[in-house]
Order: sequence, then structure tokens, then C-alpha cells
Amino acid sequence: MKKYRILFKYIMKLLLKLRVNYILNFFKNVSQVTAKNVSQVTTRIITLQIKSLKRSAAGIFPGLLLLLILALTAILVLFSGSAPVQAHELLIEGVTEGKVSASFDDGTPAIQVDILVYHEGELQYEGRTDRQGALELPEGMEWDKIEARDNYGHRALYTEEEEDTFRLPRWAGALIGLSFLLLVAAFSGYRQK
Amino acid sequence: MHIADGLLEPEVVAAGFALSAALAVYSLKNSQDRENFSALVPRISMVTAALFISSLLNIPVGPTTVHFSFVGLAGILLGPLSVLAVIVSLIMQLLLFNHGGFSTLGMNAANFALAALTAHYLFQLRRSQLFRQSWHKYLAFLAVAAATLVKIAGASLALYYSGFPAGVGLSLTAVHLPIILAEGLLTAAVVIILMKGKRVFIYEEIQDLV
Repeated sequence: MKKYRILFKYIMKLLLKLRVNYILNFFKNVSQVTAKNVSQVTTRIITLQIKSLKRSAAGIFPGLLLLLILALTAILVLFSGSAPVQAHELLIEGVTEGKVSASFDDGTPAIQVDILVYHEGELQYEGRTDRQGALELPEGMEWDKIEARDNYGHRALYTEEEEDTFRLPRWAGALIGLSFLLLVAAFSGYRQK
Repeated sequence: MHIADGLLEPEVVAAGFALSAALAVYSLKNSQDRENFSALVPRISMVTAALFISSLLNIPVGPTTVHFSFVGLAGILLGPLSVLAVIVSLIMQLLLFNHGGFSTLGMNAANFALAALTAHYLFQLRRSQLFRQSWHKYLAFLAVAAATLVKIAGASLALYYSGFPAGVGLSLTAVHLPIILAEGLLTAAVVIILMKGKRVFIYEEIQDLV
């Protein structure tokens, strides 16, 4: 233990004022810490970590542990601008200049999706979207309903007169759902006590 | 793995609702803790919250995206009661995230519930003579993998009977391989942590105490 205390002191001194002899002594000390000691220290830290984790989780419900991990990851993914937020809802954005464009609800293009074009209930045209999630319709084609579907159980419908419907932002949905379930858990837990 | 509205034939939709109702009744009848059900509500709702939020964690695979579901973990932690958690979480995902569809809710719930029950019964095998006590982590991974495969099989059967090609099952399995791996590893880690302490969290072990 003494060795580590010395090591710690040296690190602190190094942080305070960087001097050449400190650095040299630091490396001298590090070389004295054998590989066995290093593994002992790391295992000790890991066991302590697991112990404290267990202690904190023991009083609560089992789902809370996983929920915390998941919620943190979800928040990170939702709020970090660079990370791609992948969604699971297929949408048809609209028809512009004779092109149908399909995407998932976060804006990533829906590639290789079957597009079915209907007019008065009859199938007029069938095709697949390209790498931009777009499909060019034949010129002068009349349509009143467009359907998109892929092989993974997603489907979207688009009609001419469709207005923009209100969509709950996903972070709001997550917040509402989570707070509802936590409330149920807390309330029923409180009633039992 | 949520089938959207309008993809299934009416007969398949009806079969889905019937199957999920039957599974709900079966699970409630089979759980031995009907008397102290209210004591389990916090536990059920926490697992439901995990199931609910998990569908936001997506992995892009090829042309589509797949997401976590944690039905396997729900089965391990809640046993037959996981059917309730699955149904509630699917309804909430439909209302708040637009995942799935109203007509396909029955079929989705049936698939997810069957998957959770598969994981529950597979994980019970750790008590048989065939497996050593310490193998529970491998069994947890296997249970989750089997649960995901059951879920995919259910969904592709439903799609097949609604006129989709049979190859849908294969492509669905292929894109779900990363999910099987990630979810299996995460569930095994959670099971290891939960089984280390003195308090019991796994369904059958709670039953032993009652």
C-alpha cells in the first residue's frame, strides 16, 4: 500500500508543478510496481465498483438498473446532434417534380422500398426507391394514393389531400411514457409501505 | 419488429388478437402470485419502462433499422407476468412513438409475449441436472437469442399468411443478428449482476421465497 501512496503523492506533485526530477522519480516508482501488483489493484477497483453498484441497486427494483442504462443511452443518442437517430416509422415525404421520396421519420432515406401508385383504387405503377429514397414516376401519371412498403413490416400511405398531421417529438413521448410508468411504480410501492 | 398497420390480412389480424388474449389469460392463470399481485406492480412497471424505452435504441442494418426489445430479459425477470409488461409497453409505444399499428397490435403483442415466455422457460433449464449452476449467464444469452428468433418467426409467419414471400423470415433474421448479439450480451451482464447480490430478482427465485 505504501508504494501506491508514494505514487499518488508523486502524481499530485506532478500536477502541481511539473519538474524534470519529479517525472524521473515518477517513472522510477512506476517501474517498481510490478505487473502482478497492477493486476491486483485493477481487480480491487473493479470488485469495489461492483460492490457499490450492487449496494445501490439492491434497494430498488431490478428494471431500474437496465432502465438507467437505456435511458442514458437514449438521451445521449436523442440529444447528440452528430449521432444518427434511427427511427422505425416509414414515411412518404411527398411527390415533387414527378418524384416520390420515402424516408424514415428521422430523415434517413428509405432505400429499396416498394412503391405502389394507385388511381381510383387501381394499381397504376410499381417500383423501388433508389439510394436517395426516391422513385421517378412516369410522365403524366395520375394518382390519388401512394403506398410504400418494405420487407421488414413497415408501411406508409400518402394521399393527395393529406395535411401535415401533428407528431409528438420522440423525446416528449419518451418522457411522458417513462414518467407515467415511474409514477405507477412509485405510487404502488408507496401504498404497500 | 413492430408490424405496421395495413400489412396483415383481416384473418391474421383476428388471429393475432385472439392469440394475445389467450396468452394474457394463460399467463395470469399460470403465475402463482395472484394473491400478492399488487406487490409486483412496481417491478412489472419498471420492466415495462425498460421495454418501452428500448425501442428508441436503433441500429442501422443494411437498408433498414432494427431496435432492441428486451423481451428476453422481461421473461427472465417477470416469468409469465412478462406478457402484461409486453402488452402495456406495446400500447404505449404505439400511442407515443407511432410504432406498429392499431390493427396489428394483437399480432405484435402475441409475438412479443411468446418470445418472453420462451426466454422464461428456457432460463428455467438452469435448474435442471443438465446444466451447472454457474452456466446461468450462457443460458441467459441463449434464452434471449431464442426469444428473438421466436419473435422473428412469429412476425414472418404473420406476414407470410398475408401474402409476403417466405424469404422475409430469412432477411429479418439476417438483419436481427446484431440485435441478438448485443441484447444477449447485455441481458447476460444484467443477469450476472442481479444474481450476485443477496436480494433475489429472478422470477423463480422470488417464487421460492413466497
